[in-house]
Amino acid sequence: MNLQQEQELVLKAQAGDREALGALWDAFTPKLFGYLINTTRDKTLAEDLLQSTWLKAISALPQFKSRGVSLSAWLFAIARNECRQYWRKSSREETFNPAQHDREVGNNQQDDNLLVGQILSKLSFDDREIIRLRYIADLSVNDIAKVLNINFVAVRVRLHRAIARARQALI
Amino acid sequence: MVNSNIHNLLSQWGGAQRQLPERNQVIKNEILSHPLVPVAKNHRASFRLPWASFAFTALAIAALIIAVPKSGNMRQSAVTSQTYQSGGAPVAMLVPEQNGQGAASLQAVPDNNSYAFKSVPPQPQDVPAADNRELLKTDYSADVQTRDVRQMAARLQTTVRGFNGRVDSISSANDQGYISFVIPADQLGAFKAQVKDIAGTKFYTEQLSAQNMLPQKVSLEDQQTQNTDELNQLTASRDQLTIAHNQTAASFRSQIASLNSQLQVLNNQIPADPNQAAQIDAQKQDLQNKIQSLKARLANENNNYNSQWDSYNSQISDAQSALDGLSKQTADLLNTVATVRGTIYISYISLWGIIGLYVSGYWIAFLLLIAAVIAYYIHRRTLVFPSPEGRG
Repeated sequence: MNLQQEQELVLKAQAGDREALGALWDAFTPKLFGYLINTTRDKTLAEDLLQSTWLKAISALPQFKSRGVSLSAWLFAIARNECRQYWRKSSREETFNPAQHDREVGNNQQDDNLLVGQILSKLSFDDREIIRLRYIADLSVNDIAKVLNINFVAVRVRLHRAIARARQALI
Repeated sequence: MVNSNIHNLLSQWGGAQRQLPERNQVIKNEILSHPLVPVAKNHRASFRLPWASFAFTALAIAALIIAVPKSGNMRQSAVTSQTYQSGGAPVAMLVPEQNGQGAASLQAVPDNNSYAFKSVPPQPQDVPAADNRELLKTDYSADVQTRDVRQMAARLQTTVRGFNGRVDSISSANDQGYISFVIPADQLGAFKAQVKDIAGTKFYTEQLSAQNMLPQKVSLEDQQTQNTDELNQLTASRDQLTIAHNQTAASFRSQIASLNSQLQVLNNQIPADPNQAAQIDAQKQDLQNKIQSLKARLANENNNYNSQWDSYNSQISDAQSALDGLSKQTADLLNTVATVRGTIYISYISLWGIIGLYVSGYWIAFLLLIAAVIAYYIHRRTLVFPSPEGRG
């Protein structure tokens, strides 16, 4: 879905079109849920956070104005904030547990995913977060900058360093 | 796999992470059934004021309000101390347009004293324009701010004595103190540098007032000349009196001697008949009367002379005393010129005061204003990108 299609769907959804809203759900929920489940390591919690994210997004959708910001960036900003609110209450990020990743995938890919998971577990939270937003959420550097509320150049630098550290951990 | 491209690996991993929840349809239906919130209600809730910007602006205004009268008061206190120090003598700061008539009054405000107060400077009186002598009487006043008033007072006292000065009075308490002293005029420059070094440039304010004592000196010189002339005149008059008296007395004595010799001749004559005897007696009587008269005039002359002599002596003595007095005044004046009378006021300074010395209130207000602008732009940025809280 390109930005123009996304904006058309947003306009329709803002006008009360449930089908457009459903299309947005279908487009963004896999990324959003993948991001949440990778962040929280808890499917049930991820589902709860997904619901609260969408509820807040729908509540604020009538006031949403693109201004060069994609809806996905906005949704991930809300999801990120939901996670932070949860951590503020629980005061910690749950440790990585590969056994919780119970998604059925092919053997080779499962091995690769476990390897990446182990590599990411050696990185800092900020590095993991920027890699999640880039590769799970599939956000552009510009959108990541909006989500993290930092400079565009800073995102490029951080992403480059995070990947370099991941490569180092891989070797 | 280890050697594969990290980007491909992460992209594959990211794609594999994307998934739908198991209860996707249920959750989706729940979400889609949620009513859309009316715009107006949420719009009012979403409006947020830039409180941080307001707070910084208020602080900037407060800092500005505090800064303005504070600087004014500090300057006023310095001026007051100067006025006191200079005593009854008129004092003026260096004001070129008012000082054009000569160098009779000179005041210097060195270093960081950008302030000046104007009063009528002492004008030279009856001083010839060609007389370019400078007999500067210097008064020195300084304000020192310190964290330890007592220690500073003790150090200044030692410094004054180190410069061959004399401490006239000293007072020190926890919050303020002063020291009055006199030092040789030629030591003033080194003394000021020493005090500034002890106190620190930022905590030291000095005022110098110098007044040319030439009018007083000229007046003394005129009086001395006048008194000397008067003394010489009196001495000459007395001498003339003596000479005139001696001449008059000698004349009288000569006349008396002449009359006595004539009387002696008559006494030696032997009358031939009674008529001649009567004539001789009449002549003798006449001569004796004249002699008595001359003696009386001589005595009167002596009395007058003595009286006038005493009068002259008395006047000469007074004139001499006046001359001695003028000489003493001249010596005192020169001593005054050769020394500097000074007072150093010491006051306690708080940490906030030290900050104020280094960063003026205007700068603090300016920095707070910049912070307010930055806070406002941050606020604007959060408005452009919708808050994760879901507010537009």
